[in-house]
Amino acid sequence: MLMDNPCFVLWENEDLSRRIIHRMQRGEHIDAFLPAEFRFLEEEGPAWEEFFRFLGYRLVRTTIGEETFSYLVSQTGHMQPGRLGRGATFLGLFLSWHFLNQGIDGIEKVGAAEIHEHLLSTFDFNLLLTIFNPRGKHSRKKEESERQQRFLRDWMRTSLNELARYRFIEIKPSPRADWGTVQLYRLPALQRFLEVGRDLIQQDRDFSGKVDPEAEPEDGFARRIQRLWGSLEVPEDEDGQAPGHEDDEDAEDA
Amino acid sequence: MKPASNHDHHYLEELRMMLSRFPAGLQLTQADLAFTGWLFYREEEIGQNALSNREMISLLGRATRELGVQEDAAQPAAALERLLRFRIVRSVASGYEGSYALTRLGRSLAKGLLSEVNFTGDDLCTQINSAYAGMRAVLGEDSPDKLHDWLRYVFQRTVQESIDYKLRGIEEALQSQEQRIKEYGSSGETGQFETHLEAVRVSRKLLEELLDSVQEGSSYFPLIEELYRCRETHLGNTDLLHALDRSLDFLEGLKRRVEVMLAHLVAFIRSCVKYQGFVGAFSLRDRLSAVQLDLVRHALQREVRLPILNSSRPVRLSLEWNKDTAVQAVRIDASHLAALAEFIPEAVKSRGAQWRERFLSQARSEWDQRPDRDLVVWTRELIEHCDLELSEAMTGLWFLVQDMPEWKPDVSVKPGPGWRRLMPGTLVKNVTLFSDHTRPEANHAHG
Repeated sequence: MLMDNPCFVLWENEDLSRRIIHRMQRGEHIDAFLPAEFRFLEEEGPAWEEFFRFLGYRLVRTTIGEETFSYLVSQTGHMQPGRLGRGATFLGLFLSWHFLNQGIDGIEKVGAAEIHEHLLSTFDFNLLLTIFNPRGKHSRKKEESERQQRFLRDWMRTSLNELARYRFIEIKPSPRADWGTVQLYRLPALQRFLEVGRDLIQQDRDFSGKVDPEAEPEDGFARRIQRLWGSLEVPEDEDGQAPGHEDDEDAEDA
Repeated sequence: MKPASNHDHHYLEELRMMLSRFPAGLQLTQADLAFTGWLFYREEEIGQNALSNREMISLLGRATRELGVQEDAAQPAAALERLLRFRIVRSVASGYEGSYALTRLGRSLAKGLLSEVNFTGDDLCTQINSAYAGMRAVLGEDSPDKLHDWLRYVFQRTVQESIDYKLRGIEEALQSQEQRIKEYGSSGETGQFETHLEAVRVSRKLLEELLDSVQEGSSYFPLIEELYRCRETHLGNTDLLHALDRSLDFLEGLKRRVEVMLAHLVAFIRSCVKYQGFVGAFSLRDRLSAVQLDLVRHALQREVRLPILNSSRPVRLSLEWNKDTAVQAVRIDASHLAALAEFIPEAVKSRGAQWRERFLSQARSEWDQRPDRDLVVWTRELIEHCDLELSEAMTGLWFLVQDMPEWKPDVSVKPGPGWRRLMPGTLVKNVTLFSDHTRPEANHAHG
């Protein structure tokens, strides 16, 4: 069946195709910094879409700004939906905000140490600990000791590595380099963390911006995050809203 | 080295005169220089070399406005006063009351300045071309001394200086453009940003033209080749060699400089475009930034996690060797190899048995005599007849079944009670399998 399809094109360069498939199934975002993969995806877009649909994914191609990148979304219930860690998500949001505010200077990169300092000086230390601590809720109020700071830094590093694994950012010179020398390079996919904000603004404009500025934002965020990023903040008593929900609906339609 | 004292004396005299004429030096401001240039052009344009006081004042006023010179330095009357004091402008007694003209000093000053500052008049390509032409002319005279002089006093001074000025002018222009764009970039309006982006694009075009002038088709490479050739022919002449080397260095440096500028500019333009793409329209940026910060705060309080594909990683083979066994050299022994060459695997045992032919011919002849037999009884008889163990009975039966299609007369099977058809051509009798000594009794027959 595949042989009759336009997908057959994808077998002309097996090695490259395999690389694309494995990268994408690993959840990586493919952008122009992977030139060969990127070009293949761009040139044979429909064939790839078809192919991934056959495998049960949706190939998402985004061109926010002038930067194109692609990633996969699972469309069948066969696979447990994956989630970025809480710390990594938070860092992603923060980094995208940081780059948003940069002038043209240094738009591409920022020192990890700089981000670390910035976070520490902006947010409450204990909240940061809660976010980055892999064991989550159990942390009691900690004093901002040097030891704790070191913990926080190491956890941040783990989160950064997680971001880098999915190609949201690139870590140079290497993930294990000395903390002072680590530079974080923005990759196009980091724009995904702006999705919610963009959506909010878009909506506001559509409704002529007459939104109650006091009460809305919190609620708005929760709703939009829920809608855009799947059901992320499910209170424990609402099991009906479990991650597989969307897929069930699709099945009923079919 | 002592220059001729006569000559020396002449210079000294002139310089002394100059000192006495300008006891306070020429304290000209930026605006004064601009006015001088303005007057010079004006004079060239209308060919009239005297202006009345009123004309002069209005002219300077216009210059102030159009050039955007700083206000306080440019009160026309005061400016005129200064120009007069430094003898850039003199009053002309020609019937009119208070009429003014540029002095010789003013004119030559303006001329000199403008030709220095003039970046676009002669482009780089022309300058290199003329340098090349000059060099050819000097080479035509075939005199190393003249070549040396030309290199030192013409090429390394006039030509080099004008090219330097030109490059520096472009560099500065680009820098100021960038500066302005960065200012707008961090707090600006979309429209203005666009204008400046456009300006940078224009600069890039200019720079590309410059690059063209040091690429194929210009005299740049012929000039370098010529210099190298001279270098080889005059290896003995140290002074000339030195001059040639310096000229070559300069030309190489020029090319590098242009390339660096171009690369820098391209990168900058790219980052501008990217930045705009990343941020989107500028009017939205502040809003988006605020929203995003709120979102970050929100994520601080509640669990937010971006959905990604659950990493179904492809299987990865990881070999974690124990350190001791990690690197064991593999040695190939010649004798082992020889042994390997002689190794022939044992033949696979065939179903054939030595008694096969004997057994089958007996069976065939018996069938010929009486083609109507009970298979089980007959098989036993045959086994006994051939002096075989009873354990060979299955093999014997198998041989019989294989051989039957050849027999004459044809064999046909009459199934007894309890036989069933397993598949076409195969009959099976139902048996129960036990663990102890119960041999399953199943017979096959081709129908």
